[in-house]
Amino acid sequence: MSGTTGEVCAAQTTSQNGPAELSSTLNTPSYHGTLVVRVGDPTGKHVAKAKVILVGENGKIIQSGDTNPQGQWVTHLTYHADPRLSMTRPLGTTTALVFAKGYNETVVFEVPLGQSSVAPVTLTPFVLGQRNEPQATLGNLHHILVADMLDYYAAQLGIARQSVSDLPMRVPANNTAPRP
Amino acid sequence: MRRMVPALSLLICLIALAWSASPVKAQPLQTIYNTPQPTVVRVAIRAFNNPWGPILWVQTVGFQEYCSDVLPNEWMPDWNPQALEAGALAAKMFAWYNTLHPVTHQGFTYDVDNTTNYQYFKDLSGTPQTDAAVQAVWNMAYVPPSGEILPLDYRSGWHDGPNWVFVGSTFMSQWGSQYLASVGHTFLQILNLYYPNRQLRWVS
Repeated sequence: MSGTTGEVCAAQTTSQNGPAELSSTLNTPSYHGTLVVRVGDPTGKHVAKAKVILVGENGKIIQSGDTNPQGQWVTHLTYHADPRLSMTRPLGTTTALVFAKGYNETVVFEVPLGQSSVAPVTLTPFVLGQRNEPQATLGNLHHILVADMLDYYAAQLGIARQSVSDLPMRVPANNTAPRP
Repeated sequence: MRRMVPALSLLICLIALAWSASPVKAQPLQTIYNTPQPTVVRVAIRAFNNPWGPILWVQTVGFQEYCSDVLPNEWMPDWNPQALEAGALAAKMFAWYNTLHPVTHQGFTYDVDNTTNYQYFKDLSGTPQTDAAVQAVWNMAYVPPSGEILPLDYRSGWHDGPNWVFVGSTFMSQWGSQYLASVGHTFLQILNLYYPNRQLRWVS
């Protein structure tokens, strides 16, 4: 992967200018990447002026910023490969806190970080008379990444994911198979 | 009266026969020639993209926007562009078919949900690479010679091989598409392998 610094970092820095470095207690190589945080609501509206805070695993703020009129905030980071998720490519993780007027605050845990990452966040609007508690959700972990993780750790114990035979050799002429 | 009973029975039988023999309105085949591409897709949003999660709401999304927000979650955005284009056409045809077969569940009417029950959809998740793939195949359809709109279904499959068990099965292997693209197959060659007897057509 391009952008590899090759350095082994256990020390942590925060940066206000230029690429911020994601703090890590891991002795893993660091990589440069771009993260786009996109904030919207259930109606598909882009949420501008949302405040996004990225927190590293040592609990310190790494970077923060506001979304633009398209609901996007773009930041450049140096991240450390998280060995739990780096079976096929180096990936890091961060935690994103999102604040926007009129919406419930949302914390997104385990936001994956790669060379070029997108973190979609859907905020739920304040509803008068409701409790309007903050929301917690998970980052957009790719299903193929999840499968790789399962395979990797299962193999270490000599087990494997179940093989479900759900592959019909022919699709019926009127393919109306019910879905849950 | 005894004579009337058989006559009455006969009459009832005749009426029943006529009823059952009345011509059934044939459902016209929904093809790319008589069915325009949808403009929107109604997506049931299940909590945490969990296939068994409760439906929270139904989001109406532009058709192309929907495809753009499916592809990066089904194919890896850094995969070969030809694999992404094969995936983009599959995702589009799958969605098109389902807009023609909406369902009502838990009090919500929708075309697809945001999980692997259909295709994994995450609003606002499009990436430049996958958006380009969606754009590249946007005026295409991949259909049988009749033009019937059928889903191009797929499964993840396994790393580092064409996934022969999927070849000719009408199910594409996602990993297989990446492997085939990496050894020089075009998106059309990939689709031909997994979905036999279908053809590329242009749609507006």
